[in-house]
Amino acid sequence: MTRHILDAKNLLCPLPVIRTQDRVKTLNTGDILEVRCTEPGRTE
Amino acid sequence: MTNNAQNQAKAVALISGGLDSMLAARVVKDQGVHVEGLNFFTGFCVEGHTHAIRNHDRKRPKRNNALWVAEQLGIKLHIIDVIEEYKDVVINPRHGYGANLNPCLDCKSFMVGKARQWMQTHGFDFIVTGEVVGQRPMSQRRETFPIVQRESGAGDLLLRPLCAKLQSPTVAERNGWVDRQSLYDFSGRSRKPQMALATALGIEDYAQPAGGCCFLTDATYSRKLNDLWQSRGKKAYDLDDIMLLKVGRHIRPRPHFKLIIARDAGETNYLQGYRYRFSHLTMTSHSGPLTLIEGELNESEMALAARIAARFGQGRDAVRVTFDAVLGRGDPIPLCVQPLTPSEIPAEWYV
Repeated sequence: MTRHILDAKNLLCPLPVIRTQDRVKTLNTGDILEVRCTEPGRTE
Repeated sequence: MTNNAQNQAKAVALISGGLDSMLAARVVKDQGVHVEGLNFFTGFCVEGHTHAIRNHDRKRPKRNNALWVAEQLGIKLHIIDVIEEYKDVVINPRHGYGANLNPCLDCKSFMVGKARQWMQTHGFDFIVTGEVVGQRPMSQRRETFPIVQRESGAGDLLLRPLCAKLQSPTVAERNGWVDRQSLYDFSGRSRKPQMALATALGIEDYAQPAGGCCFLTDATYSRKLNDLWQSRGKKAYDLDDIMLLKVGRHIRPRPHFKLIIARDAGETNYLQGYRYRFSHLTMTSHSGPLTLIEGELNESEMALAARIAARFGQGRDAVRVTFDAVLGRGDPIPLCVQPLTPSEIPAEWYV
């Protein structure tokens, strides 16, 4: 299991979504991806 | 050719978030075709950016229209980052620009071409767009439809359900994946047929029809992009460049530098994320916006920049306004200036 960090700070929607979706495709089962965002819509 | 046990055809639909592409995807889906959506992020998409940054825009509910449309239609949406590839479309459009820096015809060919690649990679059968013949002066004309089909490589794999009856039958119709008689013959700039169809399909909420979804169709934005290219002596940009063109007042007092002055606290907050990459001015004596400075400038020019920036804070009528000024990657230095008067900022400095 590996922990990954994706820095999506200062990126605006939909870029955090795109970067997250692209990174998720590279993960192995059990890996953890932490996404760091500043976009106000990130949790919606 | 079809791929699943039920012999169900599969279509990939370009989804902009507007009404036409929503209707086109819906019409095909209603015929029993499996539809998935594609939305391309070019960097110039209007989608919610000023909304996300500016204070007054935040009061409205925020939504990504493409995702919202996909949700309404009950289809999967794939948002594809095409920022790098799209540069060639913007910088070297084979068919030129529209009224502003909008390379609409090249853009349409590019997107349909990307959809064709996606379709082939994912085992889909045809492509759906919401194009209506005569709807747009540059990209949606009878003469340009074949150009998009040819340059995208899609040929007659491209179905335009809203005006299909005015076109030759495509692969989807010839193979019986869709019933041509149930498609439409919309043409011209009127939005009434689309609105009537939306009502007939029970679609009550949709993004404003014919609303631009691309900053390149905007005169002010295009002027700023052109200014950027002229100041650099070449047509080139990166993502940060084009995002910053969406933010703040842009004032160029000298050819080799310009100020980006936040217009509200939301923009100041956004520009904070960029301040370490730019010379910048933070107002300390009064409440005021953050100012980024793009380009190389010396100390006397920094003082000029500060006098301009002082005009846009609470101290605009004060005798002196103080800033923390950061030149390049240096440390903050206190800088005290007299704000310029409005008449001392020529209109031509505003980009």
